[in-house]
Amino acid sequence: MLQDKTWDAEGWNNYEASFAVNSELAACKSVEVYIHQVNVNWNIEIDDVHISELTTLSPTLTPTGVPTEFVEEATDSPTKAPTAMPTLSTVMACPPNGENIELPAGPVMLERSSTLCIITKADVDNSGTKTEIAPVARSSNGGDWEKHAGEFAEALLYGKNFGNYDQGSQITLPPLASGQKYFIASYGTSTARRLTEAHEEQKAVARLMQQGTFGTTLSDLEGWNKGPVTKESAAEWVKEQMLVPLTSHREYFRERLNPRWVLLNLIIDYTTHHLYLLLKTFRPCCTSSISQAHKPH
Amino acid sequence: MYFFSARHHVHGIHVHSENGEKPDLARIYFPDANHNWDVYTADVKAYVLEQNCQALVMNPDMEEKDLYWTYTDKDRSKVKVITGSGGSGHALRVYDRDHSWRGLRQVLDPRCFVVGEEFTISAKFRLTDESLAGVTCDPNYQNNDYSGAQCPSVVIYGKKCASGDIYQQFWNAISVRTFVCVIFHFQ
Repeated sequence: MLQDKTWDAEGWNNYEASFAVNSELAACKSVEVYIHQVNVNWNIEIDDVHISELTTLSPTLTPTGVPTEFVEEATDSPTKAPTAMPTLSTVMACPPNGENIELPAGPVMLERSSTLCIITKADVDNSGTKTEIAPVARSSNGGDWEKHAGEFAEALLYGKNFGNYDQGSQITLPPLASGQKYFIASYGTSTARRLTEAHEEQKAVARLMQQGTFGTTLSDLEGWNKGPVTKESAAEWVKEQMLVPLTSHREYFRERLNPRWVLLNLIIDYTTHHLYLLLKTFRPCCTSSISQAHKPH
Repeated sequence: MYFFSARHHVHGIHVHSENGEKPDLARIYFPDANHNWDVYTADVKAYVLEQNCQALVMNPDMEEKDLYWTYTDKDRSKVKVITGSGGSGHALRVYDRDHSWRGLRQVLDPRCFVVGEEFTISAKFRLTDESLAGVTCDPNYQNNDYSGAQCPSVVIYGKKCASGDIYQQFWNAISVRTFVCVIFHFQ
């Protein structure tokens, strides 16, 4: 006899589960517990979350840390003014939209930019006119700074990489030739190309479906309900697809794409039209009846 | 592991030896405040969390409000401290969620995850709508639909693993269809 457990909408509902650690999970350097994947329109109310080891603790494969002696030293009283950033150079923020600020060569710590922020190189003449402008690096949507695409940036920053820290991305901009300068500028709010986390997840799903089907459809993409694309979720999806009843791709293709009847009509129209023109040219007596009976479209 | 706390409720768990390195010196910074403002910092604490595999979840009953808990994605949902399940104490409500993925998460001690070790998970959940009225999910529906009827589940999410991330989702074991044996006695 089957009995469905029900959910108490008004009260708190108990949850219980258990699991054993496999080798894949044991190899992870970071483990987190997530409580999510609930209808977007609902609030989740959470209390009394416990995760307890069932078995007695066997000797761990990795040695546990020795008791750490944490020396708590008296700290200075809070400073009224903020102290400088603990970096090699001060953090350079992207200027407001429309401003173009000169950036000296050398080490620079660049703040991640919420808008599209680009460092460019320009040749500057005595009148201040900029020519030969070339992009060097960019940041957008709060993302790390990265080399800009293009031969100039690739050659200029060859062998150099951005070091990413909490406060920004750091790089040493190489010196430029005489008359050349670096500039940093913001380019509005709507040009960011970096994908959100949700879109990144959808992108991975779309890539999987593109590889495993005749093409990703929007309904398939929106119907994905297996969370992030992992080996396990991809394998589960492939198994589900193999259990779907077979359909004929040839039938589908021919039903929609067979052009024979349309082509035949075109041939008839084309032939009739030329016959009509031919007869009109050489046999004026017959054009009248043909033009009425087979007048081309 | 270190824990940071200060006024205006700044806190977090940091795995100090995540990459197997144990540096001699660690610094705490409080960056990114508006450069026009003064920053007052007080009551800073940093201490090592003891390994306790019998109680992996820190602040499990939310008695310390949302301490150790954080959102799954910044700026994609909000967290509110509400009255606890027993009518006293605290619980947490995640609301203003812009995707079914949004919820709560907490860093666990990775040293406890040893091959073969078994763990039990328990929790209490309630679901409400925008007007805070209780809503009903279907315990027997176990799919992660964006606006589906699935009930809350718990995910153990391993990161920086040998071959990509490990996402293990556990549905409520006491809320699924169960067989009930009925014995008739005839005389």
